[in-house]
Amino acid sequence: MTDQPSAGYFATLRGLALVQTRQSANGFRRGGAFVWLKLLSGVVFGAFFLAWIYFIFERVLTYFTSIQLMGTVLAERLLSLLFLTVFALVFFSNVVVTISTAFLSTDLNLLMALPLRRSAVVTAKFLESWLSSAWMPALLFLPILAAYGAVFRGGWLFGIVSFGVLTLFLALPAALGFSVTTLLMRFFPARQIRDSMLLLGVLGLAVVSVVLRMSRPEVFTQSSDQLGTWSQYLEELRTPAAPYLPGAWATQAVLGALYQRTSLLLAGLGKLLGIGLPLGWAFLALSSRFFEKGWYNAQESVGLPAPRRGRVGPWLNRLFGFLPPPLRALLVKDLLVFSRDPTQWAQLSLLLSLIGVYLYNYRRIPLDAYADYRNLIFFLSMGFSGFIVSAVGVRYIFPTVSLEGRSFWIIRSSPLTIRGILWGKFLLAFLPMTALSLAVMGVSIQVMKVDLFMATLSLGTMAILALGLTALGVGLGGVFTYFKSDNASQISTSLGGYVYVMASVTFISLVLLVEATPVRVYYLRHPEVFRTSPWEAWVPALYLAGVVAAAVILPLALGERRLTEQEI
Amino acid sequence: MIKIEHLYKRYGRLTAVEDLNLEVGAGEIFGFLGPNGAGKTTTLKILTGLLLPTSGRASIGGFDVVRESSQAKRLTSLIPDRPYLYEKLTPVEYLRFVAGLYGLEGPETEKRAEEYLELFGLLPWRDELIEGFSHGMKQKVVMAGALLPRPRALIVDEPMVGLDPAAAKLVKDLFSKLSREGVTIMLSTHTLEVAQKLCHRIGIIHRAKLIALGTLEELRGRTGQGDVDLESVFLELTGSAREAPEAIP
Repeated sequence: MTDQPSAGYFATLRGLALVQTRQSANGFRRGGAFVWLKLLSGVVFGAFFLAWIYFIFERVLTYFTSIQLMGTVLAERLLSLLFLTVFALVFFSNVVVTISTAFLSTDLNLLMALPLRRSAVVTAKFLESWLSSAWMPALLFLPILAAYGAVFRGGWLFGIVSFGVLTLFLALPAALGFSVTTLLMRFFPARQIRDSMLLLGVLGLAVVSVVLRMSRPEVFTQSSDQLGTWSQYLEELRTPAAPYLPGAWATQAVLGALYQRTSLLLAGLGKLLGIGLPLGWAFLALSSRFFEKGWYNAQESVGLPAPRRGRVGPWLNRLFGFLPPPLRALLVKDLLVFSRDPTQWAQLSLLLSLIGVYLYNYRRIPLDAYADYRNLIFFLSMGFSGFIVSAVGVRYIFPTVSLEGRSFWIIRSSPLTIRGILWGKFLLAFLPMTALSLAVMGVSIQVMKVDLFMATLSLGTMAILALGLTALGVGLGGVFTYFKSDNASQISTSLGGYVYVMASVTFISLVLLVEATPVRVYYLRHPEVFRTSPWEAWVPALYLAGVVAAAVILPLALGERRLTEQEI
Repeated sequence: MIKIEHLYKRYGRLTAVEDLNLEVGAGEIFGFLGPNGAGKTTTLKILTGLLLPTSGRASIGGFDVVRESSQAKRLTSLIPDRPYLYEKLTPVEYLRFVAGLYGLEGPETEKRAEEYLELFGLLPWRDELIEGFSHGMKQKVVMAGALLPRPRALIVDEPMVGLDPAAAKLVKDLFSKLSREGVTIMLSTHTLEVAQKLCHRIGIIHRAKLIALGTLEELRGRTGQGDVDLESVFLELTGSAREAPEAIP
């Protein structure tokens, strides 16, 4: 026996990378046609989305170039702002991701027990966190850089430099996030730190997304008389533009390549390679130094003080005393488990902030300019509100059955029937889903100031959508169970989550399609038409009832059948 | 109390349980033994509704475990081999949850829950999250939860895994007491010493088939061996005795 690691740094790193690749490949192989279908749809949808981003930025930048003197400055400032935002996004995202990949991941139990080079394990975990947190910002940044290249005629040098700069740049906030998490894990042991870090990380992301929206990027596309305000805003931004942060260096390098100005390019690259790279390496070295102890600390379990925890259960039991005991037991259990899972709260705060951003967007719509189309815009907005509720559904309702996880044997071996379990979960989820739907629509009604007919119709529609989306979530959650994972995000991004989203979009579209005719009739020929020819209201109402009944009964029945056959 | 008739369970081309026929009476402790992959856990899972049989029938207290599963489950509690629990609950919350599933509530249930926590030495940790518990402590929480609804049939898969010697003795004593009170216990175990001491009858399942059934004496008689322990009987009947190799590979 020897205390020395059996393989070198790069050999270990290569081995660990191979295991990860093999795991992903096996996942694809086992997943079969569905996984490929999901991937293909993702690629098609993603390509459209990236093309859309390219189109928007190409338009914005072309518009900038038409503005004398100011245009180039605006384009440069926009790029610098984007780099700064991405830095913050990747940093916070990495803080969250590192906790899962480097401190909670179960493969570490094995890796830490093996005679592997710790530095290689840390690097492998860093690479994993980096890829997880940076791939999305990188992908979104590519069409933006392509738009810069096209509008300012950057050429092939710009393409190569910007890709390299982006890769290097994204490693820096990732390394910083990785080492901050490692250090905190090392010096502030116990689970609360881990939980608080998770919460803070996601809250940080929420703040960044809200701040980004509040900076009103849509002003770029508006008329030039408004640009005075925007340039003032940019002037204000200029002060904290943080030239000492890698975002500014990356901007310099990219602009240098864009304008073919070697001095600017070298200055930016020099700072990235001369300061950024060694700094990133130092962060990693620091992480390697403290990782092991941090990991041990993360395994410790110290929770909230006992007396506080002991009182919550009985209080919830009294609160829901009107429910039959099995249903109440299920509800109280779900609430307690949810309330103690910081990932759920953290992601809920992120989701709510995004809903806030959506509602804020409403306020920015120049209603007076579109007075004639107000009802039409509002009618279409019901669809968007429905998609928001379905986003909450895929993240919080769809995983409810799967989150029973390996503990599912407890309720499965109890006298509660599968039907009882599913309907119980449906009833428990329906209330918050309806409350959310009505709240989103309530704010929309208040902002858009629509008439009573439209307000009533929209509230009714949202209640119907909440009903169907909840049933779809619980039912399809039963069909596509994913008991292996206790991570709700992972469950919601599984194949079943994808099917749920597709089914939700179909359901929302069908509901709006059925409602569209009577709404058109109402606004074109006034309400009395429903009194003279009531079938114009009743026929769509019957169709609607059919669609909703199918959306409620069918998935729950399918879920029941699948769960009954499910082998535990 | 437990009746199994011509029970089959197939996974594709693999037969996990083949034509199993068995009856376990009220108050009996029945040991279900067999090598790994013989079909023990599959049978226990069918009895508790975690798996559906391919064909055949199983009933508990006269209730079919498939067609009348709720009634059958109301009489039954399961102690699985791996104590997967809701990690974010405390033991007392878990016990309340289980009681609720069986429709039990009120001061009497609360009192019984506290008694079980005390019996298994969990009272000091009643308000700690289960996620911090060791395997053995989790197993104790599962046992407390299984006993709380006062089951008439207790289905137990590997009861002693992870338990310390004191807890193991407690469980053995507890099972004997429950049996005297009329509770039927069907347990699967690899700890043959436990089966030998505890079980009234033993069934040995091998390659999906029940190959031997009876008291220890009856099984000894079948092997033609004298006063040997259950381990020797088991190895003889299953033909799984192996010599250790000269050199460890």
